[in-house]
Amino acid sequence: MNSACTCSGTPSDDVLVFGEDGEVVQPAIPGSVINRFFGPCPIGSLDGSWLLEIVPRTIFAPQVRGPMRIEVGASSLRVSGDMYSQRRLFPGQIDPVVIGTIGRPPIPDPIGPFIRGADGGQIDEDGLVIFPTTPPWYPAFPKEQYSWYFRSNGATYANGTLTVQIVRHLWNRATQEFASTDTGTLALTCRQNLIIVQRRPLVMEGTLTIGGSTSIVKATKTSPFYRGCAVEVDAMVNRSFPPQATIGSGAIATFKSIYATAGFDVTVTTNETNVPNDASLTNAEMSTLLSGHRQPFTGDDWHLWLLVGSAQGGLFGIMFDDDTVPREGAAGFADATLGNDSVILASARNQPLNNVPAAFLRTLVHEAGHAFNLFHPKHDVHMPGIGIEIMNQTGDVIGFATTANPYPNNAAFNFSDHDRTSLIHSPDPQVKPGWKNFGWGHGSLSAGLPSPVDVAGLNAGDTDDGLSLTIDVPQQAFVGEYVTAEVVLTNTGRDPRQVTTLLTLAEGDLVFLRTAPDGEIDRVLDVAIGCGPRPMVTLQPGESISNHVQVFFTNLGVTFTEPGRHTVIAQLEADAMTTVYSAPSTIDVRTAASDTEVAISASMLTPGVGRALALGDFAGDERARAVLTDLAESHADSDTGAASAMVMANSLARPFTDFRNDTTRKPAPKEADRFLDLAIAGRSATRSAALAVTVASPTEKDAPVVANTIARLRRSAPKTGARSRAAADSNSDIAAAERIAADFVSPQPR
Amino acid sequence: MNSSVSDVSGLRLALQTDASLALDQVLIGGLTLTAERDTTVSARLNLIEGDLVIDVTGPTGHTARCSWPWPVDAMPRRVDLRHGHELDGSVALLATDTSAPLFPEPGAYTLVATYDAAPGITVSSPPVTVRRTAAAKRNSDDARLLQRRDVIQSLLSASAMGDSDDALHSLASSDHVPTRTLAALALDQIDDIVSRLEDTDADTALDVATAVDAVLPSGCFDGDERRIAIQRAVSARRR
Repeated sequence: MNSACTCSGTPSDDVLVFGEDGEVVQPAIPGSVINRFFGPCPIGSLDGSWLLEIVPRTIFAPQVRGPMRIEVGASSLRVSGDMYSQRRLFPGQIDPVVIGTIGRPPIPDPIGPFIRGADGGQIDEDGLVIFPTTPPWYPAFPKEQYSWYFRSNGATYANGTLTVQIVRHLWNRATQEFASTDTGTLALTCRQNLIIVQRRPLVMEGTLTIGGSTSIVKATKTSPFYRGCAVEVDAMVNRSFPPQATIGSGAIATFKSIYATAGFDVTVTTNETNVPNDASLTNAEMSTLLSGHRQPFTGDDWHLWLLVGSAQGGLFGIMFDDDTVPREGAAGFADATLGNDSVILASARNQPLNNVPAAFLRTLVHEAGHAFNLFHPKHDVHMPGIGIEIMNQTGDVIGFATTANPYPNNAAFNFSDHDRTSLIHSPDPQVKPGWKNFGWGHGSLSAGLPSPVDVAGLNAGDTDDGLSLTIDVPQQAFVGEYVTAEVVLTNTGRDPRQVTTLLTLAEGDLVFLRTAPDGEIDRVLDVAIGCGPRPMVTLQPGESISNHVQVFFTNLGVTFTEPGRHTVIAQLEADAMTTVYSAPSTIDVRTAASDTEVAISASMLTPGVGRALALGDFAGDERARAVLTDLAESHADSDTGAASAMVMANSLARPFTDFRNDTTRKPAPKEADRFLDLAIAGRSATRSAALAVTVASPTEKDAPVVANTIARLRRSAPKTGARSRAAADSNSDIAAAERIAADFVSPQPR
Repeated sequence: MNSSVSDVSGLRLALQTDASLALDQVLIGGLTLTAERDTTVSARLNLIEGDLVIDVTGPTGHTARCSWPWPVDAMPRRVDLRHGHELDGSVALLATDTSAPLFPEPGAYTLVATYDAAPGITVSSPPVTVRRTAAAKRNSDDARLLQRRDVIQSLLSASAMGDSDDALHSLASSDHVPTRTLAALALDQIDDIVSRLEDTDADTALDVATAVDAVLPSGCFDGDERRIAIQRAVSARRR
């Protein structure tokens, strides 16, 4: 940093400009002094972890806050943060945030037990005084509240004001992926008394401009480190965790000191040392040990469990935990032996890791790194290059060893720049144990996409305790295949609920949130939107209403044209105050494979056909009529062909007047019946009815295809008095079909 | 299906699989690394230790990587290969590196194996195509079970993960030898595997040995009691 020749005499008055990668792009510019004794904070004091809070504009505004990390390097400055938002519904529960008075939240100490030093400061296990008065802490919040992540894309620090251009990545709580990106500016001012030693945490105040609005923000420094995690170690009998090791340089390394090189504040607590012996451990056994031996904890602080175990084949260690709550546990195998190679330190050859502290410590730090979602460099999608740092496999580090510089002396007991940056700045879902699966960030799992919203972020995924919404869509479809969905709203509470009956995409109460494979989010609605009163129905506890809707052709055109995995969430305004979301459902969309599918796909993507299916009528589009006729006659065995036949049956059952050229298409009931027969043949009554109600436009409750289908099904019902099992099944099927038709007109609680 | 490619390193890697296999059965692949001159190579020709990956292109053009879902730390293991000698390995072609199904639907898949044979030397196999077809067994739920994450992780880790017990018991009754072997291994039914080997033919015994080697590979799991017991039974059957 250039601090030359200013009248202020304080380096912190200089203007520093940092680029998108955090590097200095403009040297210091002389500044001026406002007060000789009260001035800008030195830039170095910004380095570390902060609690960033957005001051609510009103008592109803969401509470938005989260950890922010400012990394001040010798010639660089990087900022990143993770924001969590929480809606505050009841004024009586609001705890307004007031600048200058906020205290430390009651977050459990993530750093573990501290020894108080003679000067009153805190001393960590390595004997370092790490904070003058209060122990460092790391803001952590429920992942259900996670809202957005940001990182710097250039910054300046001038006269105590840090101005950061940020890129914000919005989190979709339903899909648990980043959904969109926008940009903004974070400006924070830090001033402190230059004479009196600060005894309170450093505080900055300023503004955040993003999403079309400017908010007041406050940042409170929480630690000189960037992140913290409590690591609990349990050891199997006769195996031990290496508390420290002498490394190649002759220095002493500990688990804590190695992570400290990455600004990561870990506190290791060896809890059990007598986990029962088992000479060979499977992943399932380690999962059982994790759940049985890990100490219970509450809150949202970061926790990791490390097992000092026996062996799994010849492996040195494994991050075995990649289930639904992943990356909470890893293991090192004390019985695994180093080889007899000349590039291995003589005293370590053929020794179990338990007897070689440096090698074992390296493996344990390495496995914990996987739990923070770090990859082997050779498997990392960013291809950082193989080397001797922690996240390289032991085998690869040994590849660099020589007889003169044998393993483990040749190993570097620190993280590569690539991994260090990830540990400090990658989003919480990626790094925090227990969140995204292994592979998210450096492996084959990933996410990202844009659309500016306010500081509360996206709110999808909120739930109402008393109502449950489900959506049933096909797991797979090929491009052009007719796709329908069933939506069910259930009263899961104890009291009756008044809810809307408009379970259609055409009236605004129901909308599907579709995330395409490229991450784009769309609101899926019908092509025709009706307006009118919201008919309500009372759902008794346990009762449901349901409806079937088509999602082949919507306001997006053909909805599923992009091969890959689509995620669909139903969102329903159940009443004036309640929005209910379904769990996400996925549809894997593929290109047509067989000749039949190719033919169907080509026909369905013909202009006019989709619209005819959405409206239930080909209207005056003779080209669409021809295509639908061909689909009905050639592919009636498929739902797509049957739906086409239903459209023909609906269209031809009634007249159609084209007012543009004053022509009227007369009904053709016999042709309509023929198409209806094609649609129903070989199909269950239930499926026939479901197709009929999806083909009919939701705003046309009297569409003939629905009534005609039910009438046709009734005619084919077994005669009265038939007692066979088949007859009973058939009657039951027809009764279900009748309910589907009735629900199309007005959903009935059942 | 068998194919191989020569490399400037003097090594040829070949991947062998069934040309066609139903989706209710676990596909086991065979790998052969052949030396065209005397050389020292990594002996870790398996998915577990991280030197081998298999890239898969599916019928819709999507790609996936088959590698071990759990990151491991391990020692290097090397072997001297004389000219013309081969190193063999086997792999369970079941899941991606994120424990997702490797073959999510019927269709033709193209597979390419890539092996870090030595520091700075990577060899790839020529592509091979395998057609995954609809379930072989009518009314079978096995194809669906083989898409489940906990079942996939159980078969690969040779241990019953999560709530997979019922699914593994179903798979353990499969007619397909590798499928039932991996399921029985996960359920720790070693005695069942061994007793079945007593009255089976040589080809079946080889299928059992190959399946076991795919998840408890030689060199890495030589001391595993399960592997030892099964290998002993296979050897006895061969004699």
